Amino acid sequence: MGGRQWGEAIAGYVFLLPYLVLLAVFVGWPIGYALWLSFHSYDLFSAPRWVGIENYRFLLNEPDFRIALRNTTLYTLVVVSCQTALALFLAVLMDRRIRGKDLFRVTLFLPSVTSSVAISLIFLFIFFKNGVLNQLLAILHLDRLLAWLGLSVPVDWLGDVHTALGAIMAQNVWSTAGFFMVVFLAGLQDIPEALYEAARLDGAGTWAQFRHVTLPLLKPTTFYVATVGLIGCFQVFDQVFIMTSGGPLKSTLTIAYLLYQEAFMNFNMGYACAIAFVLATLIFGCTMLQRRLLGD
Amino acid sequence: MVGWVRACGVLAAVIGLALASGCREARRDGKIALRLSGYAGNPAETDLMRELVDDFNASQAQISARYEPVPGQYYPKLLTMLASRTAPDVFYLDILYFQPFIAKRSILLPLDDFLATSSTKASDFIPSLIGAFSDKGKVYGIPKDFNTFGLYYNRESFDRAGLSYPSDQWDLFRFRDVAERLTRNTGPAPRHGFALTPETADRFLPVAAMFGARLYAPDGSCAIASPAGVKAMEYYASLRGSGAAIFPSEVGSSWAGDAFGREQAAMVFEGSWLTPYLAESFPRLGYGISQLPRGPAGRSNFLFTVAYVIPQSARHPEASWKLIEYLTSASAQERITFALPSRKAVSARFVSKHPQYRPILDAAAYAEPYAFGPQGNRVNDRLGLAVQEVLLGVKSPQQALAEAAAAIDRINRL
Repeated sequence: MGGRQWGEAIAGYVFLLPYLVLLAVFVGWPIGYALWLSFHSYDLFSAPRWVGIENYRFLLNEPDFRIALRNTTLYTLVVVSCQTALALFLAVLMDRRIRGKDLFRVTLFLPSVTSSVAISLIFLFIFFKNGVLNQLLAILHLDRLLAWLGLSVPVDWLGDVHTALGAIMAQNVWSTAGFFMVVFLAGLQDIPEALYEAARLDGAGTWAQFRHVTLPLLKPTTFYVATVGLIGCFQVFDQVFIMTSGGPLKSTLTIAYLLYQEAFMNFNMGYACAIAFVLATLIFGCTMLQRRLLGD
Repeated sequence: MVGWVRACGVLAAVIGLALASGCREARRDGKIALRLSGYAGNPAETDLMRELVDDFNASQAQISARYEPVPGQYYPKLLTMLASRTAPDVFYLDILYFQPFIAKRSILLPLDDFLATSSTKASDFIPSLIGAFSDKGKVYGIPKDFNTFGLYYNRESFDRAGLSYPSDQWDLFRFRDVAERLTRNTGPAPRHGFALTPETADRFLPVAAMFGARLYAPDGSCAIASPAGVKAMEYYASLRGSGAAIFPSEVGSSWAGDAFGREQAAMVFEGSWLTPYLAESFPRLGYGISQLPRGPAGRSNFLFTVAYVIPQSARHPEASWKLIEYLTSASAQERITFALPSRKAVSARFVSKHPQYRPILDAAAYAEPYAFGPQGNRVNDRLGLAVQEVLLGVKSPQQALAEAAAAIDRINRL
């Protein structure tokens, strides 16, 4: 590199400096400190005590962590697949020339700009035993179907071990599908009309066009939607915190909620940091796996 | 070069301003600024606290206190503030958290020196309450008020069913019998005899003690899975099994007191915190209070209390003490309406003025402190899980209690 190039490089870093400092202070340092803490026993009041990998070993044998891991994995699998499919379906619908398209788009997008706490509070009223959902089901005579499935009718959706996690899943699919629909819409509008024309000339029907033109060309968008959805799902917290506090009987205990409990209720900061790193590793691993499966 | 000097000057000015405003935080209008924090309890309590703090400020030339109630998650917030050295100068400490606070952390300031030199004496307060905030001969908190469970009953439900009102002589089996009869005999409302609180062990543990079960054996290990404990849990679950007891969530209530107010349950075990709630939300409800029924092994109850404490990090301990003295003075306690005053003399006067609270006061004679050791809050959570497992029919009383006892021993060894 010549002197001039060096000068440019230095100038570049000087311009980057404010951001790099912020990044180091507010992102880099906390992450490093959390990693350091995860090898300590620390309750915020006495000095951190080195315990080696004890926190991680404890975590692997801890029934609560296993429950949280199982709940979170199940939650992520169901929510990511449902919300991606629903978002794609809605996007394809909204991409057509239908009446009141803009109204639908806005309505479907609204939940994603609403506070998740506010949404959760409203869903409490929908899900509780004398709530809107049960009244609707009774009007539609679907309560008999639920009774046949072995649930006690009217169902206490958030109070029943069998339905609480499902109820939170449904709420999350509803509230995020609209945002991902907009992402898919952008992806759909990037697909050149000429490809569809060519496909039609070759005699492709609607389904064949969707299958062989739309889906493959949406692959990068789908990857984005699935990845962002996966990260969000693994970190699910607000809904659990507001609606069930991990109950009943830990059926909605998620990793992020367990982390919060250990950090801010029991003040096991070291152990909570260990949970955070396991969660981060999990998210990283799943994202890489997804990249293998969906990416190029 | 001049530019650099100027820039440094501006920077210094900014830092100076920041420091100055930091100092202003501690003094307000030239007065010592104090912060008082507690959980936002019932509106009656929050209103009284505001009035008391205003009156305190009016009486002080040098001190200005501010009341900052915390809605919702009080302890997570408090502990975070303590750890980051931004804790209030005076704050509420629940009896359940006293031992956890004392155990590991040098958080609380002993108050003995203040007590020795001021007109407030530890002996003015009900001994068990002061005792609940003492450790190794030192007093760390001045109790503000206290509560025990009473049996709240809906008079109209009893009248309609032709049953006589609960008396202090009832035992648990009579209680269950009446709960079942109230459930069958009454019309559309109230439909149930009793409302359980399924997610906590607060009401189960007194029942367990009534059967003779102890939470801890003399050696400190958890003894709740004893035959007496299992019997007590079987009894507790039988309230549910017979259909006499509902969960509040089943009738759209968030807690048993609300189900009682809405006449969905004719009886509940609640402290006198229920009274202001009923007065505000259900003013026309006719109800009475009696002591909890007794069990085969006698009476039991919980003593709930909250104290004012000063953290060791407080910058003005003397001023903080003055605030505590004012808040726990006889004249301030005369104004309490939502709990029983912690001063002996005031609580006696209180009960003669409000005789319906006598069962709550009488129970204090034998009630046990609502505290479970240095890990008390976690032990309490774990017991709550066992109660929930049994009430939801997931585990048998024997299995749930045995697992809880093992888990509690593990927690206490941490």
